[in-house]
Amino acid sequence: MTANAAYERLRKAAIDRLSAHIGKFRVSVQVGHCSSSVGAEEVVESFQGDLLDNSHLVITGCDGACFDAPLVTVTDPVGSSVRLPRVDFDTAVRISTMLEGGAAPLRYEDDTAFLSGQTRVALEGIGEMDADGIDEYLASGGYGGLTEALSGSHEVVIERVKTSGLRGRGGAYFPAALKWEGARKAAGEPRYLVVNSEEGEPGLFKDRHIMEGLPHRVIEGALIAAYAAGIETVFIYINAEADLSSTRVEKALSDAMALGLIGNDVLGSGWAVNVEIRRGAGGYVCGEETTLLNTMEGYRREPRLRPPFPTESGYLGRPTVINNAETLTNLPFIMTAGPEAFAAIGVEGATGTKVMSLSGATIRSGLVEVPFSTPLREVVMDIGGGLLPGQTLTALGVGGPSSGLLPPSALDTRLMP
Amino acid sequence: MTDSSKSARNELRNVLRERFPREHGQLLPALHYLQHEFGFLPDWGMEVVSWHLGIPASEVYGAATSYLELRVAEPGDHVVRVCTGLACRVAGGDGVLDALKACLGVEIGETTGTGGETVTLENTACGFLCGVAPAIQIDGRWHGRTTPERAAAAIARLSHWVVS
Ligand SMILES: Cc1cc2nc3c(=O)[nH]c(=O)nc-3n(C[C@H](O)[C@H](O)[C@H](O)COP(=O)(O)O)c2cc1C
Ligand code: SF4
Ligand code: FES
Repeated sequence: MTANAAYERLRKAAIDRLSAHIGKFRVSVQVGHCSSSVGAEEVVESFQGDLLDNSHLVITGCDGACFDAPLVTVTDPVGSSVRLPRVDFDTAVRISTMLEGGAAPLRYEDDTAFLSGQTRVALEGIGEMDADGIDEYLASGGYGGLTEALSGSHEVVIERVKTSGLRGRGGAYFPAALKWEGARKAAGEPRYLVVNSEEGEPGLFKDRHIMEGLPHRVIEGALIAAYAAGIETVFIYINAEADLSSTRVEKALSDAMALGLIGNDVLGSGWAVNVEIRRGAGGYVCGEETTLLNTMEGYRREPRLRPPFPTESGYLGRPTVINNAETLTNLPFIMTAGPEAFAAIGVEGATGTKVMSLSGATIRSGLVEVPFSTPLREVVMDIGGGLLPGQTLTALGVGGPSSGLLPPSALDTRLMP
Repeated sequence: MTDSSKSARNELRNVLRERFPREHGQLLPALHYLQHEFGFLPDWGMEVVSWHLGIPASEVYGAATSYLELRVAEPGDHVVRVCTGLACRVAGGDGVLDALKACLGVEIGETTGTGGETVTLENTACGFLCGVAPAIQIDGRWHGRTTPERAAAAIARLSHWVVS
């Protein structure tokens, strides 16, 4: 059986399982690290106690609109949705009561500028997709990128990613495909892939959101990269404090393993891969790749000299690819929509989008994904809604405290690597 | 104080044997386990880890102290952490910190005196929930969009804590 046939079977089974909920209200609660701190779990408890058989409760990650958290979306049986911001326990009780009577909550004057100003590739579907199960991801075409990759040779994948122009999102913007080629050519077996989700820099929370909301897309991206680079062992390195990220990724891994998307014979293709979680132990420098390797091997938290680069001598002295989680999250899109579609976003030399963590004195704060070359003004003033009353712009911190501050005049700078 | 008796050591040895293969790379996972069990890394626990993994105790201690997330000193019965990062400050985090200092009567890094349960006040450079700043963490649980009043009320709810 080809990988494609195996995949279509999995996908159909997922759609069949989801069909049990047809005709019901779908109530989804966005539960993330941020929203849990402002009552999302209480909202879930309320729904768990009150929703009747005519409704189906789903836990998703956050869509990035932290300023509106906790968010709840109610979709009626016909498919029309209402997105409700800042829901608390009591509001949840009122929603349950309305649904009991068969009525959906009224359309709310939703603040759409935050999301509509964004271009979502890596984050597509975040906050809508079930974050605890695999079915919705599969049904919406998830793991189709992996299937596409497995249907050809690793060279095809590397060529496509080269054409897409994808560069690393961890800070150095190294071309992803070149890194994989480097590891493939390096002597020594086995090779390793480490997904860098340490993200210890104050003010950055994008990788956490991605893992919480789209754990399967991170895993699918990691599998595509591993296949391209000739790697059979993947470590997902998650920040010590990002417990929810770890829980969601762990659940996703076990679901993917149960369906044969990870294991000795992925989708019947004969390719074998193993994926494990490793946890960091705090401190911003842990995200630097050689420090990260020391952590994984049980040594002090300090960097190693380079060269040798990890692609030649990394984990346990073996060729090791280290990629940021966001970098990998773009791969399913590149494999399914095609590298040209990816390259059409952004500008030449800086293709695709960048996911940013927006916070501080803006009216709206949260996750922002925009094409490269977008002026910062658009991010701060349009998507962020401008400054809070009484605030004046004194500085722009881009890339975290270690990158320094920019003067207000930098608002017209375009977002570039 | 943690129980450092022979039986506690043996119990820990059994857990380590079951869950952590004798590889150098298991050091961090094993220390994480200790911290999870005891809330910090007791000396005797690090010693047992050192035996199990065959890593000198001095090296275990050296690695442990190079990781911010690992504690080698025993904290109070409750740990309150305040985010003093940029977003939290912009959102009024300083006022929250002042309120906590005032109601606990300690500075950052200190633990309240004995008599009832003790509380350790700490800060962090970021809680990674900047979108709902200002943030504090009480016994592992984060609270976003907090205010001086809410922070003080949360402290008052800590069981057996006697407000000075
Ligand atoms: C001090 C320091 C901290 C870093 N922290 C991170 C991090 O948290 N996450 C990350 O992916 N890369 C981080 N990096 C970059 C990594 O060393 C590495 O370049 C990156 O993970 C490669 O992935 P990419 O090619 O997909 O960008 C850091 C680098 C330095 C110097
Ligand atoms: S939660 Fe983050 S970002 Fe946050 S203030 Fe605190 S520092 Fe910062
Ligand atoms: S974690 Fe929920 S929107 Fe940020």
